[in-house]
Amino acid sequence: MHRDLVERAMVGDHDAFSELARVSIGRLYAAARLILRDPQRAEDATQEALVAAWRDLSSLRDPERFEAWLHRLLVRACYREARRGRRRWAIEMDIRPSDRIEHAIEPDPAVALADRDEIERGFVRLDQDQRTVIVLHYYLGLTLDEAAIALGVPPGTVRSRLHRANRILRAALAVDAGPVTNESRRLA
Amino acid sequence: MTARDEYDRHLSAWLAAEAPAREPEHLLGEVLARTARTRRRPAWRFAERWIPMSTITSRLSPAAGIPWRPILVAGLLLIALVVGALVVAGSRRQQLAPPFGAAANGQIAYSVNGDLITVDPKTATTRTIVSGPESDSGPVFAGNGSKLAFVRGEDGNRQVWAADADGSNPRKISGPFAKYPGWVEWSPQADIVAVEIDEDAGRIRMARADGSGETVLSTGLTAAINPIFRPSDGNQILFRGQATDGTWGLYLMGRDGSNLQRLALDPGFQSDPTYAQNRDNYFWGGTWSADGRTLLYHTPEADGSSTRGLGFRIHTATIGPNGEVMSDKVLVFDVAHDDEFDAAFVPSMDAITYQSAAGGVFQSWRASLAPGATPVALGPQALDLIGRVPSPDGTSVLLVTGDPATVTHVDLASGASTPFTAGSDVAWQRTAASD
Repeated sequence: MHRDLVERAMVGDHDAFSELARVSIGRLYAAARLILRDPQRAEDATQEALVAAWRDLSSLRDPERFEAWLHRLLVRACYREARRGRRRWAIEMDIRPSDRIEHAIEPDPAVALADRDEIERGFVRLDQDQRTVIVLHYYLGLTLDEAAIALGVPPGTVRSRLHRANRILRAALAVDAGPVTNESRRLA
Repeated sequence: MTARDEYDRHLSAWLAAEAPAREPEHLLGEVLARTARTRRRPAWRFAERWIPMSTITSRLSPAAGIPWRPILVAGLLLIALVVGALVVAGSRRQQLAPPFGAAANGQIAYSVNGDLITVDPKTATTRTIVSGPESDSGPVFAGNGSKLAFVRGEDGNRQVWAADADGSNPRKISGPFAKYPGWVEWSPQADIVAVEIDEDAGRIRMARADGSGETVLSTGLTAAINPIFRPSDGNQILFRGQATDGTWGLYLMGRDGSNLQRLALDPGFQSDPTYAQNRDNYFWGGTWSADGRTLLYHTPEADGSSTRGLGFRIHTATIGPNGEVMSDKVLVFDVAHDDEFDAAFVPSMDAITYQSAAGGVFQSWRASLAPGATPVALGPQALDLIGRVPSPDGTSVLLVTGDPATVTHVDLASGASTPFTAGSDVAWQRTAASD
């Protein structure tokens, strides 16, 4: 992330913030889609995270921490989206028809078709906490300590969530693969 | 390559393939349009930027003892005055607020850095009422003002605790739970706390406030959330439930779990053209009038007037003692709003407060129920849901906006707004009238 852009944005330069938003928004949206599994809510969470970033940027002490701070804002926005309707005040739900986002990306040859289906089935079994830590660690590439900061929980909590999530995913792979006759399919 | 490496590689590759290649084209434009008109918070608003939060917290702690020189006569007089004041205060403390309807304003509670703080709205005097190494948050006063419930601990070990309203006699009443409870609600008698936990699919915990245990009510539904006691005796509980076929509704049952029934509200809702895709949005926000006869809730309505095509509308329904729906009407205050929702009666019962969303901007309102009355906007607009905490006496409201939260005190008569220092989990104690 460009430090000079962050510093300019911190003192109110909207053009600088626009550039930061432009280079960040794709990755933020993709992460929100993976966490929330809902394109409309992912849009809302991404918007909320970036609007909060602009509104509260003056609270950032270290420009080098901008990206980590943005991840934290996104995670909080995702949790808020997911919680809507669960809290006494959080009642409004987005009911616009969702826009389908076309997947322009080609399937990664590293993942065989059968494995993709199995991972998908396992992934939908994860709860929000587990999906979030998986996305932060395996998609955004955060270390567990960085994920802990983004989530606002102790590193030990992140480790236990990741452990539980991986156990569920591995179980899904094992079960959905049927009787395991080929040792190479055992990922656990 | 180890099995673990192979698993990590598969998972990372799957996530990369599953993630959308790019964001929707309109998203960046919408974000920049919003940020361009969003006022930034000045740095001085973030206290932790200037002062360590530990310093702030310690300032909220009771001050050290005041030095004084004893003079015999004055001292005796002082003691007499103090004893007299304690007797008067003690006698007042015995009086409980009515659990529903108007009451006098008591303390305002919220959490700061894992401790519970109260502030007297008249004198602005703050006091730490629950402190210690544990993380405490989410205070909820009983309707009669005598007790306080709160959540203690972190994810993985969340517990519900109860205490006297001044924070004394804390005791655990429910838990531990993996996550933050979804709902905590006092019975009118302040003897039971209804607790909703994520992992309790279709069940509601009735925790005894003295810490002697809890009863779990199983509804047989897929989900049972947002339980509230029906005024005025609290012998029935209203909650939002989801049947095994996926249909949501508002349900009524006895506080012992008996006579469970789905209220026959909004007839024909399943014929809405977009019902299937919006099924999970139906029947939210149930709240009673003080006499327990009228129910407010909101649910999607295809009224054709919203720019978004479909929005929440507020319903007012008259409910008989056994759950009979005597009437069910839609209240539309401004057809231009995408959504109107989250309604509650003011204590005088002649008006409601609610919030609206139009074009992604949220606004709180007060609306008289007199025909032709025009709603009055309350406090600031927001880009997200607005928390609303009415004063027990019905003259004002605390609005919670943004994250980090900003709390605004709004006088309902004049509409005047003033900033109020409190956390996002603010609660207002009801007390007996002072006369």
